[in-house]
Parts: sequence; C-alpha cells; structure tokens
Amino acid sequence: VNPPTAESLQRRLERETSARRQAEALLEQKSLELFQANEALKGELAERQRSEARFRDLTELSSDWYWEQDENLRFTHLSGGSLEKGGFNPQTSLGKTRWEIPNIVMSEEQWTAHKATLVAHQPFYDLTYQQVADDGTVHYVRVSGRPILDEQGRFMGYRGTGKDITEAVHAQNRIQYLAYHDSLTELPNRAMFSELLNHAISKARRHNRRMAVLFIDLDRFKNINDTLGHEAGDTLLQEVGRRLKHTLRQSDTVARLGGDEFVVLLEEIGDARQVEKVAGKILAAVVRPFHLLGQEFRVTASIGASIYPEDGQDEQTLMKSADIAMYQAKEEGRNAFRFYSAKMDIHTFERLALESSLRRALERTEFELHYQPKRDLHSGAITGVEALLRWRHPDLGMVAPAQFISIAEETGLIVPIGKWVIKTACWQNKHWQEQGLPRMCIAVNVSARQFSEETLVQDVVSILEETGMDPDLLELEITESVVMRDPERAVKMLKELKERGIRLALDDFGTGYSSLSSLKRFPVDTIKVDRTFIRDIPGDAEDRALTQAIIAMSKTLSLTVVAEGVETKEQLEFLRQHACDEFQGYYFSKPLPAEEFARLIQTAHAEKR
Amino acid sequence: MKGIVFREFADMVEQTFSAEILNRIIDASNLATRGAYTAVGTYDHREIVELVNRLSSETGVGIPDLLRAFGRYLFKRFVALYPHFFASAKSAFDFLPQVHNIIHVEVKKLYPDAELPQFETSAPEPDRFVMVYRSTRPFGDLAEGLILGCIEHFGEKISLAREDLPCQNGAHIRFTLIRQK
Repeated sequence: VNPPTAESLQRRLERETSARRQAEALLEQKSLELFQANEALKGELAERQRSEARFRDLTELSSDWYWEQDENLRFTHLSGGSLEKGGFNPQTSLGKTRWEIPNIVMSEEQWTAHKATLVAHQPFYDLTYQQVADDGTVHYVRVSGRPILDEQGRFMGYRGTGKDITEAVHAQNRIQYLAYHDSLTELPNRAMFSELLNHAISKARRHNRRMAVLFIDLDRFKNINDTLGHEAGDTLLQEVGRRLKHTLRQSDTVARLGGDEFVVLLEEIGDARQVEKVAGKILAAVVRPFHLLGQEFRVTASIGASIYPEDGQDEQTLMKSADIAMYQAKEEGRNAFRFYSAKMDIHTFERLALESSLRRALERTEFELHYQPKRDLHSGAITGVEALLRWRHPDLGMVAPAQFISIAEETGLIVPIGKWVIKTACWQNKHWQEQGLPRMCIAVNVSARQFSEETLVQDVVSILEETGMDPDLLELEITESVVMRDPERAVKMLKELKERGIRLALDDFGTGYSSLSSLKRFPVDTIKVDRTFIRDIPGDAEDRALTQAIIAMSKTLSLTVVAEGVETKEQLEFLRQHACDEFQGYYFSKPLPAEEFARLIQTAHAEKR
Repeated sequence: MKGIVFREFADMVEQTFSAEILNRIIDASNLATRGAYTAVGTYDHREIVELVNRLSSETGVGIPDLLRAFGRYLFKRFVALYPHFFASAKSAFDFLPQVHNIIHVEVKKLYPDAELPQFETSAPEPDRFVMVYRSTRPFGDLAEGLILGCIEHFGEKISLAREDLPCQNGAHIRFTLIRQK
C-alpha cells in the first residue's frame, strides 16, 4: 500500500472537519434536547411531589387508611393517621398476608369467598371484619381493594383503603336494638314480637305443632300510676318484666307491647294444661308483693291465651283472640286466666268498640243531659227535675245509659263523666233561675264508682262554688244497693254531704234488700220507689203491698216519696190513694232537652198564674 | 444507519485499498454528506450501498464479497471498540444471542430512533445454532461477514450455512452454525 498523497490527506482533513462540525451540531442539538427533557422531568417531579403531598394529607386526615400488597398479597405499604388512632401498628402487618395477621376475626365462609376474589384478581368492596387492636379493643374494619396491573396487564398485587367503622357498627347495633326492644324493660317490643310470632307460626305450620300466645294485662295498673306516680309505675313494669322472664323457659318469648300489656309466646306446647300451668305460674309471680317507695304493694294480672292452630292461624287472629280472652278474664273478676273461646267474640267486640269511643266522648262533647220533671201527685205542680245522661254517638246515634254506664263504671270513666254531669246540671239550673224560671231542686245520679271516690264531697262543693248554685237545690241520688255495699262508709259520706246542705235521695229503693229499719240511719230526704214495683201495679198484689209499705214507712220517717216510671193513669191513681208525694215518668213527661224543658216550665208557670 | 459503520467502512477502504480509491469512490458517488461521517450521527443507508457499488466497480471485486469482508473487519473493530460486550462470552454460540438480547437493547438506549435488524436465535442441538436474520435493508452479506468475524474471534471450528428465505424487500436469511468435532 502506498502512503497517501498530500491531496488525499487534504481530502481526509476536509472530511474530518466537516464530520466534526456535524458532531458539534449534533452535540448542541442533543444538549438542547437534554435540557428540555430535564425541564420536563423537573416539572413532573414537582407535580409528583405535590401529588404525594396531597396523598399524604389525604391519608393522614382521612378516616380511611391506604394499603398495598405485592403479587403474593403481602402488605408492602400501610399509611394513614386513622391506623394509629385505631390502635393498629402497621409494622406488625407489613410482609404478612391478611390471613397471616393473627388478630383478624372472619368466618371460614368469609375467608373462602374473599380468597376466591383475590385468586381471580377481582376488585372487592366493603369487606367487613373484626380486628383486635394492640390495646386489646375490638374494632370493626371495612376494606376495599382493587388489583394493580402493569402496562402489560400483569398482576402486581392489590391496593386499597381501610376504615375503622366500630362507632358506626355500634350505633347501628344500638339502633337495631332500640327498634326491636322496649327501652323500659329491655324486653322485645311489639315489632320484634310480631317477627318472632310470624316466624314461630311458619315453624309450627311446617312441623305441625301447637303453640300458645298469652296476653297479660296488669289489673288496675292505672290506679298505681295515678296514686304512686309514673316513676313507681315504671319500676313496677320493670319488675313485672323481670318476673315474667324468670318464670318462663329460655325458649319462650316475653315481650312488652306497651303500657301494662305483656305478651308471651309458648312454642311447642303439648296440651292446654301446660299453658294453664304456665299462666298459673305467671299469675303467682305477679301477685308476689312489690316494694315501691318503701311500701309493699300487690298487683294482679289477667291473662288470656289463644292456641295455634285452633284459635287462629295468623298473627292478627292469634293476637286478637288472646286479647279477647284476656278481657274475658278481667271481666270475670281479674287475677284470672282464660282460654279464648269463639263465644267471647261478639260480646267483647261490641264492648271494646264502645269502650274506645267512650274514652273520647267527653273530649268530643258527645254527652248531653236531658231533664225529666217531677210532679206533686196532688197539686200537679212541678216540684223538681232529674238530670239524665245521654250519649249522642256520632255513628250509633243516641246510646242508652244502660248500654254504656257499666263500661264507664268498670273503666273508671264514670268518675270524670259523673263530675261533668253534676257540673252541667248545676250550671243549667242556675242558668234557668237567671232566665226567671222558678227555683227547683235538680236531682243527679251518683254512680257506685263515684260514690267510692274519696274526693266526691270536695268535688261537689267545688262545683257548687263554681256555678254559684245553692246547695239545697241539688239532690244527689244514690242507689240503695250502693249504700248497702258499705253502710258504715255510706252513712259517713251522706252525713258529710248533708252537712253542706245538699239534699239526698235513695234511688231504686226496694231492690237493695236493706231492712226498712236501717233506713233511718241514712240522712236522706227522699226515697225513690224503683220502677220495677210501679210497673206492675195495680195488677200485681205483691208489688202493690211493697209499694204501700215503702210509702208508709217513708212517711213515718218524714221522707218525701217519689215514684219512678209512672206511665199510666191507673198507676197514678193508686199512688195518689196511698199518699205518695211525687212522681215522674212518661205519663206526664219523658226526659227533655234543656230548651224544651224550659218551655214546659214556663207554660206550666203561666197556667198556674 | 449509524455513522460508525460508515467511518469503519471508509477506514477499511483506506487500509485495504488506498486513500485515493476512497476519494475516488466518494467523488463518484452522489452523497449528501460528501463522505463526511461522525460516529454518533445517523445517515441514509443508501449511501453505503452506493459506496460499495463504486468500490466494486473500482476494484473488480463482487459486492457480496466486499460486504462479507467488511463484516469480518467490522466485527474485529467492534471487539476493539466495545470490549465489555465480549468479556463474558466464551464462544460464538454464547455471544450471538447477546446481539439481540443485550447489545441491541444498549444501542436503543443511546439511539432510540435506530432501526435495527432482528435476530432470532435458537440452539436445537448442543452443536447446532440457528440464527434467523431479518432486515428491511439488503445487508444479508454484511450480516454473514459479521457472523464469520465472530466465529474467527472465538477461534472455533464452526461451519456456516446460509439459506435465503423468501421476502418482499430487504433480507430474510437463516444462518445455521454447526460446531465441528
């Protein structure tokens, strides 16, 4: 090979120079590109730092924490302020799978389902479990996660969030508990009992078994509440609840429906005797003395039972039947137990309907008074008036006193109703006087229950003061039978009324088996001969004789005698012959509304003049 | 094509033939670069095709022979320039798979836009090695030269068989290397 010529060397130099310029240009271009790339990276770095700061703040401030797992599902990252607050140490979990963390409580089924999700690389939401924190407290934890995939779609692990939901779970549990329990007695409430009963019904139906529903109502609980106060009443209910629970088997259900009503569900009963035995135990448990406010008390209960399937095959019917049976037990004297029988239905239903509307009748001013004049048998002059209660029922129309007075008595409603009657009668009488009508004595019936009220005298006195009516224009009519129930007390009571100038009448006289001689003990002004005697005179000899005797005896005691229910001229004639003083009845006038009565008086007064 | 190949080609022409011949083939070619190449630049591969054509005319040596010879030369130069790529390999069978798996990966890092040929290698038997070469450019002979250079470098007794496979343009060749006992 020959050495290169000078020209070749020159050419090579030129090429090298050109190549160097190219290289320098390339270098400059690459430097610029590097600079730009560097700037872009700086921007990305800053953005990444901001993003990380956001993420850090988010996990620190949020009630959620953040976690990551590798492809073997081992924790590689755990962060978040709520972790430590919840008492979890992230360090003890790192490097472990969730099932290697010893203090996580999950059921076998839950684990199986969760692992299946993980194996399928599927996301999961709201996996909830219990976890025991380092300090030993039990926490409820809820986690969600989704798989991490790289650009090629390969599974790299999981990441997700977790949250301590202990408080929410506790609140939820409490709400659940409150929704299904009576807060006073901690017993199941009506809603829960309904569920349990329905469940038991379907079970009994499937297995062809019998079961019993027992309705338990405390007798006269209202009195306890009224006299001792609600707190004592509540304490009593709590104690009753405890006693019921202790009396029953673990498998039986006792619930409080509200007020003083409890209900018991006896599943898998053999025969009716078994139910009777349990009812007997309950009655015995309730009747044991209670100690309230330092005193000893006794209450009784009335129990009604219905049996599945005989007395009902659904919740409503079983409950209704047991309720009816319970009412029957109450009616038959309380502290008693009755099985349901279909006969009870009709009677009790009417009664229940009447009772509930009676409770509202006072507020709705459905009551009114009608007035029946009393006449002098000899002169024919109007001597007085008897106020009679009427109930104008919105659906039933006029309801006769016979239909509702007994219910009002039993329920105690007669007391406020009776007070209203006295007050209205006094007010009306006073009002008539102000209208210029002559002074008349107005008679008002006092029921047995009213008469047993300690406050009767005071109540009447207050009404007189309030209405401004003279006491001697008010006559209280008390039946003979009421007086004879407790003659000692009656005498005392009547005397007190008498001392205040109030007139007194013995009503329905002749039916109460009082010896005629005992009559003189009672400071009464008037004797009213019961309508049953008047009805059959002058035909019936015995009634004639009795009426005659009553009149005669009253005369010797200087009492006014009034005959009730006089409907015929013959009756009137007989009474006149035997010197009866006054009468009332349809023969002269039926009971009238106030305006009509006023017109009647005005007319009679004008005639007299 | 990377500038290093052009520079090495020019050096080979100067050394094997002469500086004057290099000048002549450059002058005879219509080159945008006018024969000035820097190793880190990238140039149109047609320039080297043209230069080889001119060299063949100038010297009377066939183009395939020239390219094979250049391949063998180039391999030696690579060994000299980039010794670290050759440090670990003990034989051609060791080294050749690395061309695709390691060297081309490294080249891509420096020159992301480099258009590299593809090699698929397999060793169906211990002494038999197959390398399928595919390129959009007509450099099958250059590749053969490089493989021969590799065999020479490791001083092994290996026979090389070449089988051209059908292809639209560029090159698609199966090289089979059999180690002699």
